[in-house]
Amino acid sequence: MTRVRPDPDRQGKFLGEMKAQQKSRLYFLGLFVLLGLVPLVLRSEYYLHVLIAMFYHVIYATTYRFILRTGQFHFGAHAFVGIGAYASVLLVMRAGWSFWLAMPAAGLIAAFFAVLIGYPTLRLKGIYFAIITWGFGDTLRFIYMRFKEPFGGPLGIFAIPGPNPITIPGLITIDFSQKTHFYFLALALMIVTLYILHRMEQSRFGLIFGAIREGDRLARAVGINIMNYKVLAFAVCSGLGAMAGSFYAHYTYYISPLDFSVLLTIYLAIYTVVGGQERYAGVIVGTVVLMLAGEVFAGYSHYQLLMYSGFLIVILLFLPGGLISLPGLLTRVGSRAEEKEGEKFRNDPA
Amino acid sequence: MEITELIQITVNAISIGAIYALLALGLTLLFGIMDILFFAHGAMYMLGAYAAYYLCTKLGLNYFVALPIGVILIGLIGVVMEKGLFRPIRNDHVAIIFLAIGLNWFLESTGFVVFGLRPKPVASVFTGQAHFFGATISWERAVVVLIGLLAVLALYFFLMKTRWGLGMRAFAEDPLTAELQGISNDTVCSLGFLIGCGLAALAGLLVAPIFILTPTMGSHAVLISLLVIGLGGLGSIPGALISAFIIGIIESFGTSYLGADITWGMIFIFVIIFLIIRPTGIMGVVRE
Amino acid sequence: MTQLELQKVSKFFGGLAAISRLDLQVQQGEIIGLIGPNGAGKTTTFNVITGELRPNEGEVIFEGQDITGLRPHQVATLGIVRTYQLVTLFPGYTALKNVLVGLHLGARIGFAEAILNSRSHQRKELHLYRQAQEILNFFNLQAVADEPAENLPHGLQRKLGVAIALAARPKMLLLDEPLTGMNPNEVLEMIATIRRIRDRNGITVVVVEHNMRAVMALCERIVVINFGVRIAEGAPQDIQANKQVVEAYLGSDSHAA
Ligand SMILES: Nc1ncnc2c1ncn2[C@@H]1O[C@H](COP(=O)(O)OP(=O)(O)O)[C@@H](O)[C@H]1O
Ligand SMILES: [Mg+2]
Repeated sequence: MTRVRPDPDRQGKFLGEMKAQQKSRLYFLGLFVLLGLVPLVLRSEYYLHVLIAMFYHVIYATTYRFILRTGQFHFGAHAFVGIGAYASVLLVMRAGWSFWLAMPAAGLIAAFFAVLIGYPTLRLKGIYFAIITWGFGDTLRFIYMRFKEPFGGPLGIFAIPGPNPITIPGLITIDFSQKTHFYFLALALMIVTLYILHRMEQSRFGLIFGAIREGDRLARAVGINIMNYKVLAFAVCSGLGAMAGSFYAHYTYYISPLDFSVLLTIYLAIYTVVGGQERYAGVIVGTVVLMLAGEVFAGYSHYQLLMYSGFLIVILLFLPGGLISLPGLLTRVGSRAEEKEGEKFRNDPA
Repeated sequence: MEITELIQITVNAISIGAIYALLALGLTLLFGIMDILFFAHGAMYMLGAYAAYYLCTKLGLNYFVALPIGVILIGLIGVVMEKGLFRPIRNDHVAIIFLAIGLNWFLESTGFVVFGLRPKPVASVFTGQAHFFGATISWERAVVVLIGLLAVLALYFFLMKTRWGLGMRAFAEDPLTAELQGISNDTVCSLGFLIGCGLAALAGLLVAPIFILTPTMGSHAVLISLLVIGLGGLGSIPGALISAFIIGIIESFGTSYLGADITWGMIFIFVIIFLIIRPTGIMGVVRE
Repeated sequence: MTQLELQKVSKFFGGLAAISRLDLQVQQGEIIGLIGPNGAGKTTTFNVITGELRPNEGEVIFEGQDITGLRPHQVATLGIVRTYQLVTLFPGYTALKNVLVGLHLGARIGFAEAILNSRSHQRKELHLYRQAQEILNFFNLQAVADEPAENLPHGLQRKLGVAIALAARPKMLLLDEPLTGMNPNEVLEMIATIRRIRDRNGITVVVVEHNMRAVMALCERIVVINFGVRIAEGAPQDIQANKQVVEAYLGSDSHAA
């Protein structure tokens, strides 16, 4: 309990973290370049599609997890992804906007709804929030189904145009006629989202979110407006998720109310817990592993859900830290074995 | 004419409300006592309905024999789940919710695999209609209302008058004191799951002759139950009863005058707006 | 000058009056003790001042402004910061990060700059870091800056709790039993620290404390409450001489002295 060793090197620690933060941009750039090379190697459209789907699911899942980490039991991720998809499709198809404007606008609209729902409800214990967000999602689904005009009714909206072409004169034209174009767009969206979430976690905002989790009464007592922070996280994450939803709509050219059912949120919850919610790499691992495993059952959604939920139960009972905690656990078990070994040695009468 | 129409709609409201109340009863009980939002409630309800199918349609048992068998069987499944799955992580609230979610969809997808997609028929035991004051109600619905009412009364009696019931209510207040009163927390939890899952199964068995049985019926029921107990106030049994009938009334009037789908949309919007303004529901206490 | 004033404040829990028509005046820059037996309503008084509880009747006036019913973070923004009776810190955070959180009100970092991590943002972060270190130095905690707060010995945790509160740059500090569980040497050190906080920064200090020696040593004025009612008020020597107080409090709890 009371081990206090003065750390002679202590000037280093916090400043060192700050220095590392200044470099983190480079890592994200590196990741972008690395994943950007994939299409050069991987020619199969099918695999590219799997990766693209993975990218926008990583956005859904990491933003979902961030909201969970603010202590709220979010059960309406599907609502905000859906708002993003429908809003951007309607802005493009009805109002004639460019996709490049409609996508961020859809994010803002979803963020606006998050603020509207968040202020009255985020102060409540997680469970109320779960009911309200789930109900909100299903209310929206009802509205999409019921009002053929402009939402297309139960059958959804067809023939959604892809993103508008971008031309850099004399250099290249990206007209989204090829999978690789979508691949780069999804990749860019994911990297930007991950960078924003990373900064949200590492910056002063992350410090405050963590403090609220560690002790909300004390946080309040030093002047932190907890509601503002929770709403901020909720709105930013919902907005980012909605932009991914907008991408989804213009990538698959078709959306229907079925795409945005509570099952989407369930999947995200499963990715989060299976990967491990403690760290944000965990969610990514969970999403990637489960989506790859899910490909085996592609087309048999019951078996897929069966496997996912079975996985969830097993992880909860036997590996509460999720897959991401596995390496640490293994090395710890390893070192404990070594210790035992050493003890045996010492006790040897020789 | 006017007045009989009104009576008819009210009778419908009561019959709808009774089903919703029955659906929500076990869920709100488990929440009130153990602070668990037991999503797998829906799956237990679905299993109850399928139990009716297998016991009555397949095995040819009398409906009223099948009823207690199904309830006890699924109640026991609940106890096993509590002992095997929930007890080890009882103190981790977030994990418990995720576990219940996982179980619900695990059982639902198992349902798809085992029961198949095709809706299953359960023959109605009662045919014909009862008449009073010019309104009609089918006998099968009247039976649901009646048994539902009996279940509520029995639960009330159990909670208020028996030693076990007192122990459970003491547990809800403060687990430590409950232990001192001579009923171990483990017993309370097992009992809670037995009753909660039994009530879910009872609801499933009762609606089996009326509704169409599919594996997804559980998730749908959970959402309705959540709206009911959310509106009523989480954990409050009287609240759940009141709100079930409020929703029953809206649905009954709505479907008569506006059509079914718009009515459900309205109920959603009504409950959500109500909860956003008053998140504690009708009878609830805020737990911030 | 009167900085904080409670006017006939009552707070009921069910039928029980935790405090009842309580009047209290705190002068700018003084160190005042609020004492009374367990359950007298001292913590409740703090809760009412900081907005954690809304009083059933009465007003709380701070620097001429009615702050009754303001929310806790708003009260903190106005300059009243408290510590809690039980150890209050952010257990998983290092001592340094604890203080960094405390600096919240002076931080002024925007969302966009934090995300972009611009040069000017980095400078601000560095500045906050320096401030945090200064505060740790002030409390003689610099050696444990990178220790997780939960690993610190009890005495240091208490100090850190006050350090977090001081980081919020309060005009008035409310300390709820800051000396509990400290050894006599730590008590002396804390008394000196509280004095320095007042002397250097002119911060008003309200102390709730059971250690009577410490209260007598530290406070310039003492208010005694019992069953939520004020029963005496005055300089330490007057309080010690007050028969009513001795009966209600010191008499029954003489070991504490
Ligand atoms: N949240 C609460 N709910 C009910 N009663 C409370 C609450 N807080 C305090 N009390 C009661 O109010 C009285 C005063 O408590 P408190 O202010 O904590 O006393 P002190 O800090 O002087 O020891 C006590 O009788 C206590 O039991
Ligand atoms: Mg106290």
